[in-house]
Amino acid sequence: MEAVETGLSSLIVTLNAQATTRAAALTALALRQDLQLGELGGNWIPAVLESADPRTAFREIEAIPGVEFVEVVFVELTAPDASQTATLST
Amino acid sequence: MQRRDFLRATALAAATTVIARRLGATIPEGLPAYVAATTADVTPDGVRWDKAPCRFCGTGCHVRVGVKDGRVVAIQGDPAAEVNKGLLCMKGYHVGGILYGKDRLTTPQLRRNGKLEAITWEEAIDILARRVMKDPAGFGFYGSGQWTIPEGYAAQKFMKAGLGSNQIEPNARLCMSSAVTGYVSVYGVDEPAGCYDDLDAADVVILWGNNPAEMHPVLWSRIVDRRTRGEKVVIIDMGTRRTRSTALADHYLEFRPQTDLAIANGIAHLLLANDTWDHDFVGKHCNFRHDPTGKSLLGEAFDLDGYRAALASYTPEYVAKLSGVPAEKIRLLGELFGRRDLRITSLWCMGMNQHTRGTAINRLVHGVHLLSGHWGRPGDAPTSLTGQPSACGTAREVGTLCNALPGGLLVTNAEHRAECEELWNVPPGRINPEPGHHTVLLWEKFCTPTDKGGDIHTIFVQVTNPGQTLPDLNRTFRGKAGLADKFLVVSDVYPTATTELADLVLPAALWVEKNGVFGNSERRTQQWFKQVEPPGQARPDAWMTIALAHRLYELGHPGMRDQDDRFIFTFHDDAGREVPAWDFDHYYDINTDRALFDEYRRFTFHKHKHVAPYDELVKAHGLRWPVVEQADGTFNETRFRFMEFSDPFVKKGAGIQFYHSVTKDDRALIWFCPYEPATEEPDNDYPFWLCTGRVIEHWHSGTMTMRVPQLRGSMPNAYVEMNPADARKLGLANGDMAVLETRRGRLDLPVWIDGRATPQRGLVFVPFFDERQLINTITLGDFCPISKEPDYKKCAVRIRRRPAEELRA
Repeated sequence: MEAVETGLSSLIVTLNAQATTRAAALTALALRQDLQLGELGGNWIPAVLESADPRTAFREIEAIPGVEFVEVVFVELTAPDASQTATLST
Repeated sequence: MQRRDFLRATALAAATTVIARRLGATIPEGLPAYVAATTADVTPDGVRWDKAPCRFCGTGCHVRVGVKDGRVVAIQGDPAAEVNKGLLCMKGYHVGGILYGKDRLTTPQLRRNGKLEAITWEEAIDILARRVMKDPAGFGFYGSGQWTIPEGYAAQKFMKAGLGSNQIEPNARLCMSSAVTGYVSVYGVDEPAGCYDDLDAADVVILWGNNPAEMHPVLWSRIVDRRTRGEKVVIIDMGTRRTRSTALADHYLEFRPQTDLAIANGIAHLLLANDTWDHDFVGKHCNFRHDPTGKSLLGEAFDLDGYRAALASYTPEYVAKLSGVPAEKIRLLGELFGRRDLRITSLWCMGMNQHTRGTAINRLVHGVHLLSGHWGRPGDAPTSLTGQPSACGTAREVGTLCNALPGGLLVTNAEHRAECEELWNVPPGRINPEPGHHTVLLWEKFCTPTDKGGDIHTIFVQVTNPGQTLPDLNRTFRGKAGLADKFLVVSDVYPTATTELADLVLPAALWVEKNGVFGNSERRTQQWFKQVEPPGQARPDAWMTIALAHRLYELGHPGMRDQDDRFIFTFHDDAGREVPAWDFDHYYDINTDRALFDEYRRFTFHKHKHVAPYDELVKAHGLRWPVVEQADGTFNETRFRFMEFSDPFVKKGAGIQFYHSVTKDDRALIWFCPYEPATEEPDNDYPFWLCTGRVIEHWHSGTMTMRVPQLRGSMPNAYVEMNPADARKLGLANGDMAVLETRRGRLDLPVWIDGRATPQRGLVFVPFFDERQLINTITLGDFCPISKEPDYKKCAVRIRRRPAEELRA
């Protein structure tokens, strides 16, 4: 699944089961300023993402060695900007 | 705590809860009630949270909807929902945004001198009623699998009990009617026996032309997530193009379009040849069937010898030759189905249903499960998925098809008609015994001049966009233009390709702007309450139907009265006072949805499809029917139908009982259906296959998702997806404009190579979400002769690079 631009979202990051790889991934995640991490449960860690470019951030997180899968479970909807809101009037 | 901090805490709690559920906890202690409650709750930041099923696909995920100041401000996957356990896909977590496109329709509009002009609701309903009154038999009602159950039920009652007409169809004819005819012809009754729990127990999951990674992402996560827990799940992807689902599959079996029939027969051949079919299961629970005409729903009796003889030619080598799948892969399928130690779940959706042999392939997939005994244990299941949120609930269960009555009953059955007339309290003979026109025919008749046999003069469209989604649009939809005596009425939330030709446009309330009930792919009925006001004068579709009926009542249409001379949509409040729900000022004086749903519920008992009472649904995140009342007054849902351990309607000791069996002996039918070529195959003039479908970002025709800036930004326009070798041969590169021509027309599209999917050589794929690039102007209108579902996956097309001079022009 891909993330797209939002105000704030929360993620479930699935980590590799191998201990060293997982530890490296956790370190990489913890270093990100745009992520607030929760407590690790099994192979999963909850995280809150706040980023001006969440789509790129999401892809960067997915690309971290040891990150297997990223899922989104919560999204804040920002007030729609009229200039951005799509129109398809025929 | 600042709002932002609170939101952050909420977001983290949501993710933590989902993880806790995966680890086996129910709902972790210490989390606020709003995270998982089924009732509305207001958080300290003033956000009111309530449950609702997602508005998009048939998976039926539940979301928590956060509302503040009359506006949806946040969406959360509902961790208490069994379907999605807190997860959402990218469309799901933007579902709130569909309400807020700036071009929402807010006023009824009538086309005068080619322009839509605002009119009042009273005028709009009166204009429509007078069209109907003039010639009720020529009026058609076209709805969808996005109708809520009460909306669809109101339309159904209006047409069949009121007008005595069966000219009503849902767009679900276009997406799942082959699944219906498959279930009915195999088990005698529609809808899957299993449920999503099968996905948690299967050892092998087979995707029959199905791409759940994009179309049902939450179910896909549910399957692949098992691997992260160390479980072994073998995924076999059988398709005509490599997709995101292929990326995680253990085996990819790429077959030539249409030859899924041959593959299924090849599996059955091997089960017989290797003597690995389940003699005990078949002996106790199955009969054999075939259909020499190719057009019969119930076919003719067959026997094992005949079945064996019919399958004799489907050797792995022959199937390999037809399908392009190597013989050893066909053998692999045969071996897997021949193993009793494995549990196998088959999944399918449009790939099998949108097929000129849709009923046949559905029967065959059920057949390999029955023949092999991979049926009747959790994880052993043939399960169709649906693309719309209430294709099952409203189209199939309410029976808004032209041949159906509520609860799986049929207009052609005199007993069924009599039962419905009694429940509706209308005079005997009110229900028309002749099925109406199926969808393609309904629209063909509408687009045909009246003096040339076009017997449909007016169509009322609710909750769907046929101007984009019908096949062969120039024939089935755009032919309406210029026919002065035809009148198109469209209720929708945004302007669409359908409103473009509409004479009357009605603004509709959307999703949580009204009460609703949906029924998802696993027989789960899901209820929600209105949570925000619709914009302007937008109103619920159910109200429109009731108001139309009442105007006809006022105009003297006799069908709008029941046997006691009362209006057919008469409602009462708790004190017994009559509530004029047809008057919008009083529509919400009672919960009209509750009244309609509980009235509909009475129809569901005949075929053991008992839906729960409305008030039980309020308390739950959906309940899977049959929902049966217990001695203590509580209600239990049913996870697995026809299986004694789960289904209360199975006789004690029977183990498995197909109690609506076609052959009236509690047995399911194993069908033989031969492979036959597609009705239009590539040739020298049109050398490629054209396949159409969906993308993860957009839901169907894009009416809603193209208004969500984030989704539109992720996938802004349609494209033609090509195999790199084919593109090279034609001198096409990524982004080049290609000209696609079929026997029905031409469409120019940018080329996408090596994107998210790769079609096989000789096949191109085009998504249908983009109303500026209507791929259905060139698709084929041929359909399955039994289900009447068109084939959007196969027609012949030629492709060339668009010359520079055409580009300049």
